[in-house]
Amino acid sequence: MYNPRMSFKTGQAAGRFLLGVALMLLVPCSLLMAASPTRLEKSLETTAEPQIHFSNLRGVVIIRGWVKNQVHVICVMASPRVEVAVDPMPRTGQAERIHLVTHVLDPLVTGADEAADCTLDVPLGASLEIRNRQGSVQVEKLQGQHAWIESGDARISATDVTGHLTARSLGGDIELTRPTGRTEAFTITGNIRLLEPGSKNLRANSNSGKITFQGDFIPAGEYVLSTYSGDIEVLCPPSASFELNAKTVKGTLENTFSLKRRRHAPSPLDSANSLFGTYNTGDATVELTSFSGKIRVRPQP
Amino acid sequence: MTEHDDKLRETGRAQCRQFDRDLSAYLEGEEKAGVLTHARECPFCAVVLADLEQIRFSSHHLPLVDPPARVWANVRATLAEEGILHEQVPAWQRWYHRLPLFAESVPVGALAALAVLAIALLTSPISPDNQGTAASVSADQQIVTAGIWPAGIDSGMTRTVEEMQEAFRGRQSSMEPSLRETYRKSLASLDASIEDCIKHCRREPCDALARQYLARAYQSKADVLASALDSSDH
Repeated sequence: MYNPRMSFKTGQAAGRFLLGVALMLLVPCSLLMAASPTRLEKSLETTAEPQIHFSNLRGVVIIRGWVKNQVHVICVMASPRVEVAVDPMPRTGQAERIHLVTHVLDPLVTGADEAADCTLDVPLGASLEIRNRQGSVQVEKLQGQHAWIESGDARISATDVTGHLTARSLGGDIELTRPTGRTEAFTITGNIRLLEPGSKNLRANSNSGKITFQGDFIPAGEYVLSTYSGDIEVLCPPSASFELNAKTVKGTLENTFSLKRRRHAPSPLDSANSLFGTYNTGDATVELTSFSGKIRVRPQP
Repeated sequence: MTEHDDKLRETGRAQCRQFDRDLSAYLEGEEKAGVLTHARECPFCAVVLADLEQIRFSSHHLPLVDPPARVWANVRATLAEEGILHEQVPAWQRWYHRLPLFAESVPVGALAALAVLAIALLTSPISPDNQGTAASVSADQQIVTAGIWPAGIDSGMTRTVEEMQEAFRGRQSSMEPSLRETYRKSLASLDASIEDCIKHCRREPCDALARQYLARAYQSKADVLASALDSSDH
């Protein structure tokens, strides 16, 4: 016998059951969605020499020069509550400047969830100002006026940059390969590697990290490498031509090139802990100083 | 593309270049009618002009503020390193300024300084190692300094750096833990260098290179603290 009261109750129970199942599915789905990475992909027409500013919190930033007058951005954010805002100037037509800023939309998002891994293809003539607070930065093939890169404790690497290159970190290692413009590298505890530099003006400073210079000196170039407690190692070809001025307060000096002693007035710095002289015709000036780190100058094997 | 279009574009570029040349003079109040005429024709230059006028307008209404402490620290460090700044402050005054308790009472300050000197004379043997600065490292690796600094190091700069460190200590709890750790590690490295340098400068006060290192370490510390304070602001 059909009982409408019973039928209503059965229907109500079934409805509750379905609602429960839906909720059970909805909760994990929404949690998964909240945790899943989101992606941004954008292309912007630019001039041949745009200025790119990027301020990121965490994650890997890769910037590569290409022949197009276009910036192509691909970012993968660890959380949908993190966004990368892309702001071209002017807003229409070819952008002269592009500002990219990573924002955390929810203050509860911290740690690895703040990460945005970004790859930017930019015109060869682009100038850069990149800050990645807790992530690495990799720059390749750029010919713009300047590239300014800063990171906290992650690695900075720049390859084939021809403009004024500045790399700064607190603890992250810095590796600069074949820079040809004015080059500056500063870190507190990180190591600095300068590989085959073609720069005529190069400065590197680390407090406790090691500095390695590997390559030849350009005639009339000025190379200033300084550490506090870190070691300095210079490896150059036997055909190199340089004037060496090496000083250390408490460290040691080791040089395997036969230097011609330079005539100079005695100074308070002249001691067993200093070394002055020219090798070959002394075309480049090399200044190496440390407080307690070991300084080694030797030919490349 | 026609030749006519190319000519038009070239003319436009020439006008933009002229606009760039005249812009700063126009903004400084000189009569440059061409700037406004070109801005009416060229949307890009119009945006540049509008932006600069907005900046000029806003800057006139900005309140005058003192530069942050780190600016003074950098200026002092640079002047000291270049040997331009020689703060001629008597030793007793340096002691006095380090004791805020007595900041408003000259007689009490003088008496305290005398008492400290008397105790020092009575208790410590005379040796090159205990002339000048005494330095110790606290749990936070902060250098606590008192007394006479090696030549070339300005006490004002060290005071500024200490103030910045104090500000950092107050704000570091709000920083993201791994970032805080990065800053602490960097500061610890610089503090170790400063401590080592101070010891060396006391033993060899004529070592110009060591003094340069000390000044540079302080400057680096000021830079790191400034960066840390900026990060905590954000």
